[in-house]
Amino acid sequence: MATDRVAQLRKGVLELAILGLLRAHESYGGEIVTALAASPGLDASAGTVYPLLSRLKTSGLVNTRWVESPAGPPRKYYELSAAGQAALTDGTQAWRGLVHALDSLLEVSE
Amino acid sequence: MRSFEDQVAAALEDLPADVRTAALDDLRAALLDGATEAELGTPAEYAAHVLDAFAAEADPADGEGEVFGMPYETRGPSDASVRSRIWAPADPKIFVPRMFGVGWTVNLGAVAVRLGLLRPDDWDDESLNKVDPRLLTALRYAPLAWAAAAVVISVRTMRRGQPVPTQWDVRGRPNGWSTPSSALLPAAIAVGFAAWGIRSASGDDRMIRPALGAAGASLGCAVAVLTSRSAKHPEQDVPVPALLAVAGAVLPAHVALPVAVALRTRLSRR
Repeated sequence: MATDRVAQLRKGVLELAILGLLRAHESYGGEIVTALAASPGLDASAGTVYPLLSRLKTSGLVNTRWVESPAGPPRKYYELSAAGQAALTDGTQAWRGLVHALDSLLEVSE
Repeated sequence: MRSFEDQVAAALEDLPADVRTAALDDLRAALLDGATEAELGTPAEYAAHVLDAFAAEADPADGEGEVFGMPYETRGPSDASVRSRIWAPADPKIFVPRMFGVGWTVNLGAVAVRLGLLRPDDWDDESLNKVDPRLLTALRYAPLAWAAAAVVISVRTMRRGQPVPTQWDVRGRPNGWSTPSSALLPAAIAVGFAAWGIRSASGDDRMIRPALGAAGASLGCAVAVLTSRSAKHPEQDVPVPALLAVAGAVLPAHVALPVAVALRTRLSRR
């Protein structure tokens, strides 16, 4: 089904997008959801993003820490691990290669 | 009416303990970040997102399975995800597949929950960070103390130059003998476990790995004591159950100490 294919494609892309967002600085989950929502096509619900963060954590691609907040409850911050940096570099290269190849293919078939 | 978190936890029961713990910890983070049910979906929908994200991990890993209704495991405790079974408070199952071979082992985390010492969600992958690193370092190297004791006892036994027992009957009386150098075997076992237990680890494994190393090394130490005593007084029965009980208590003690410290100093999250 086309919708399933799109959903699977998005899931892989979202993981790369989250790693990209964490490149500059650590963030908490709500911040990541908001940042993704600001990019058309990448917006995802909290119900999708937090499970992906769990997966990135258990894969060792992000490190986490709880931080007490002066106003409000504590927050869990996510930051790229060394393995996450490497995965981001590999993922970026693979993404660019894929986009280039797919663009050429789609142009030919148009 | 069960909470959102409890309903998700129940739906994720079949996930490996470490994955389940991580997923529930992030759900707590989401709720603390103010995510509403409209954003997270129903508990069933949220659990489906988690299962989808961990689709590969939800399948039994290579080396794990069931034979005649009994679980088996071929990877052994050298695999960190296998080791994590002995401390998984988020997993309600007390008996979990053993670390190697056919059968079950005890999930000390579920025992602690059942005894009312902590709640399943009291423990997460950050909990051990609240423990003084000096205590974790001391626990990491504790297996060496058992190994050193085993070496001292074994060498003294060997130096007596007498045959040493290598087999005992059910009453604890020796019925098999070997050369004095055989006295070093329990020391070698203890050193092997200690060397394995002090290797660097991360997350909860900083507690689990040395606990298993200390348990193995203390067992070597117990056998060294047994050997020494039987070699000296072959006519006497040795208290095998008492020695094994001491060795058996090392593992829970090794886990209980850092857990108690972590829970006492935890952040007040709720």
